[in-house]
Amino acid sequence: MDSTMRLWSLGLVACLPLLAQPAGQFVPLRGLPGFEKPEELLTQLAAKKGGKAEVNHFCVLGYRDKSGYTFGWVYWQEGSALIVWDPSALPHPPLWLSRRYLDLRRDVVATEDQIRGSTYLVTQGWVEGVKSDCSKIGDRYVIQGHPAKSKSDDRR
Amino acid sequence: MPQFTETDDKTAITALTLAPGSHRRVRFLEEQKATTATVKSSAPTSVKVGHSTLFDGPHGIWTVDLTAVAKGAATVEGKRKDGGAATIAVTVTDPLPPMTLPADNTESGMVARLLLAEVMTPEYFAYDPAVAKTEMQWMVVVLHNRLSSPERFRARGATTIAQIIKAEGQFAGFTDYPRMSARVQSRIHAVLDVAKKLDASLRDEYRAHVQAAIDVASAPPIQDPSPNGLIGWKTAGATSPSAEFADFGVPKLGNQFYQWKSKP
Repeated sequence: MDSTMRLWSLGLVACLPLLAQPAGQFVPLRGLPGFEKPEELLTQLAAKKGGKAEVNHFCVLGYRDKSGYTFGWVYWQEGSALIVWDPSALPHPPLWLSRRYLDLRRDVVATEDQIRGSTYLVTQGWVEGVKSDCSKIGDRYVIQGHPAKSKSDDRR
Repeated sequence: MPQFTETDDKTAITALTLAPGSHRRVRFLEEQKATTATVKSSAPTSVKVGHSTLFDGPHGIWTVDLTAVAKGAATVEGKRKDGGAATIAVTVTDPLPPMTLPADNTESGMVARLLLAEVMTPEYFAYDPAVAKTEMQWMVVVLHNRLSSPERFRARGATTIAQIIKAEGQFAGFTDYPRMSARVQSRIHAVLDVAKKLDASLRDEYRAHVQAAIDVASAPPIQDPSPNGLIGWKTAGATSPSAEFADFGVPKLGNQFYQWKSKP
């Protein structure tokens, strides 16, 4: 890997109430089974979909839903995306094939009234809430460099 | 230790299943600078080893092409000069029965593709085939229930499921169906690829998953499980689809379902 990676933690706190959605909870993802090696997954995503960005900023926020299932939301600043990261064994399926990949330039509306039953559109307020929460207690990753695209990355 | 890998030079291979007449390219990694390595099959009448070419001399990586000749089994052994070796157990067996989605210009074909795009796939820890099938069935109930008030879902005048699915901004990647978004199309293709691949580690699980989508899409909707009418779903924790909706149960495989708050 010719990119260098810088990583820091912002002090995750276990099971904090979710600020954006009171029904769920934040949980730390780092170290949980199924969420290993996030850097590899994010580097793969940036290489595949990163365009010309030389630095890619990610923030990963764990979310435990009401059933007890825990998954991640990956906020990608340069890619303008919020992506679901479901836990799986290594090697992880690529994030761009996630069951939910929100393009923040296209899949965001101003108010709840504009959602009108959509199975994927979200409000700007919700997005800002996730980003804000992530900046406070999520895991942040900066992937520097401009990895070359690789066709082998298409393999599942 | 030497090893065989996929052509990514990372994913180790110790066993393969191939269909007669098929070809497979793998790599033999000497794990040292290249020597005069050899790759041979124990049963060339079943599995033939083509010419091995040096791919990366400094790292001792060879490209090896295998051909499945006839049903049977063989051990393919790669050996470097000092005797260090790796093997692949290759089984040549009948090809899988075809796994094809209904035509994309049919309602069942459109719904099957929507289900494969929306429902979690088998490689994830939380995946449970019974829950996945129930989730698919609930999604179909949602589609049918929306026909009762299509104008509330950007589908004014809709009388078909296809019109409900193609309504603007309702189902990611399906507005211009049969042209789907590139990402959704890639996701569906990836699912089908695994289901069709003889030696994919989760092949059987994927085949069952795809079959469930086909079966659910081709059958009439099940009885609505909710008292007020199931009317939507969303990734758990994301913005509710409507102030008129209430959660129905707890999320299934990361998706929250919704019913009307009160009977319409």
